[in-house]
Amino acid sequence: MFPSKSALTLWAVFLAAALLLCVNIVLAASIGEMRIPFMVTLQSIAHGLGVSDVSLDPIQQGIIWQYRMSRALIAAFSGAGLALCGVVLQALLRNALAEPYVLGVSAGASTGAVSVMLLGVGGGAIGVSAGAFLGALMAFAVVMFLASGVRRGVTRVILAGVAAAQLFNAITAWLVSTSANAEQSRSIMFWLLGSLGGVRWPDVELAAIVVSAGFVLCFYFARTMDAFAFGEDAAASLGVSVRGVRAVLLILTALITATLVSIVGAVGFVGLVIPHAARFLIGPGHVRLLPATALIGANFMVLSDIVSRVIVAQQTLPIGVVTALFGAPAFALILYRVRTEE
Amino acid sequence: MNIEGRELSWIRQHERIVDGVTLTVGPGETLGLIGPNGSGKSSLLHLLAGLRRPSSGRVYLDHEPIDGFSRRQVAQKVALVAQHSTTDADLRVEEVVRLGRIPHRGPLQGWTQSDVEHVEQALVQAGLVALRHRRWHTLSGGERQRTQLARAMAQQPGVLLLDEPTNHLDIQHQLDLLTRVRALATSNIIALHDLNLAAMFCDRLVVLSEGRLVAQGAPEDVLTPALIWRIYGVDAAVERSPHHGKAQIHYLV
Repeated sequence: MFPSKSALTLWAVFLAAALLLCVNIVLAASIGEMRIPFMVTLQSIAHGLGVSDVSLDPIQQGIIWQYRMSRALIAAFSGAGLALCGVVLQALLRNALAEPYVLGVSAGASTGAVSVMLLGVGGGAIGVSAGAFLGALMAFAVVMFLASGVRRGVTRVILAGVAAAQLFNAITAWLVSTSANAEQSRSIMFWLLGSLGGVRWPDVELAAIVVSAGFVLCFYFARTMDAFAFGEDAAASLGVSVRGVRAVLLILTALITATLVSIVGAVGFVGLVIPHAARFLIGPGHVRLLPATALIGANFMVLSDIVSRVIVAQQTLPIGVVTALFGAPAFALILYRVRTEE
Repeated sequence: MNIEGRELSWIRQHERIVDGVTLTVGPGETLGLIGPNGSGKSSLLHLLAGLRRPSSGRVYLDHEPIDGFSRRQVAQKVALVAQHSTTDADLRVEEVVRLGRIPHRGPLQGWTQSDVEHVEQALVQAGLVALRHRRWHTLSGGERQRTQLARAMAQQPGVLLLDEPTNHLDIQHQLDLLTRVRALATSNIIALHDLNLAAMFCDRLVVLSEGRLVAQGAPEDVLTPALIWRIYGVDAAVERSPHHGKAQIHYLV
């Protein structure tokens, strides 16, 4: 939509980001408690991809492929997915601070997931992901209800999000403290902070399908999101069916958020920071912004995962802690810039 | 293009904002919409743009009911310049004008020669060629309104609706904007506060009061001291200007 940067620069940025992502994923797979030679890491990945049949130590191969590789890919897909949700929400709500975590959607998804895990809501008919999806939709409903009635609701939406997050976090804490045993509550609290521990290939498949499909759908609406630059009426006068588009995209972000929350917990600030970084690099047009955001988000999350594993010796921090350490100052910075521009 | 509103009413929260307004604007004609604050000018424009569905009555574009067109088809025929446009996107003038091509492009369709030409033409019409790379946030109020005018022209509309486009502009930019609008081949409906500007730039005026159409016709027929007193409660004398021949209102306080 906005060819302000030359096409060549653009492809260079995309290519560099994609290459960097591959490097980071291999790096993430090579780092861990058990020292495994870098060559073995590469061979194990090649073996896992089915392009090599060198015989390897099955334990090392298993650690690289079953544990670390699945973990790195989950990090990449969740980074891409959360960043994508951030771009979409920022465009639709015309709010620089919008993202699933800030709006309380992640909290809603957590509540939904915990209800299924601890209370068996749905009697086994719905899985944790479906529970998270219902929770996320509920959180959206609460935010939209609280924020409605005011047309110029830029701060209002964020405040509504804070309220929703508090509400759903309280429900989750209540559920955990009344219905979980000590072991369960420990693992749930750890997961709530955002944790990549214990993810396996089926999780990767689920995340890959949801995030990729979500990306394709968002990309289809890229120009439509451009049309929202001057608000909903302006978008409508440019031929956008505002209600329909908004419903489709909000449900889509709820779905992506819920899927990722059910796998890695509520990881905050990725959706907030990455879109701003991407906009800074390649401009506001969504045709370019969406792929750039997804790539940068994936890189950011894989790197955050590496940091979370090496920053404290012999220990792995929840990844949400790392993203928050980067994200909270960035949130403050963006808030400050939004203020001065108003 | 011809645009017609027939018996338009719009009720919001049990309040009649627009009450049975019928008006029509022919090809190339400029209609001025005047009336006090809260008389329903903005709401009427939103109904005519198809952004709100009237509670009763209908809008017709070239005698076809507007409900028969998709949102996108309407956007190819009718463009709206709002009173005040804000964004937090870091857009350049040219990028804002390009938004006007959205109704003409498929979701994944590339940028065509025709798109380029219409954007260029719109930039020329709005006098923005030299400002095309400027950032929106650095523009003055007048430049922003001209950018929105150019965006609207890039839509290739047959009908242009402007909602108090000269609010907050200095007199130079008010005259500049309205002169540019007059130079277009579109059918225009402009909501205006300034009665002298309305008299100078409009072929016909429609006066709204409490959502109802209370007078319409040529500016010199509509803008009488009696009407100004009835609508605004202001004493005025009206004479034909010896300089431009249009009605000139003197307010008497």
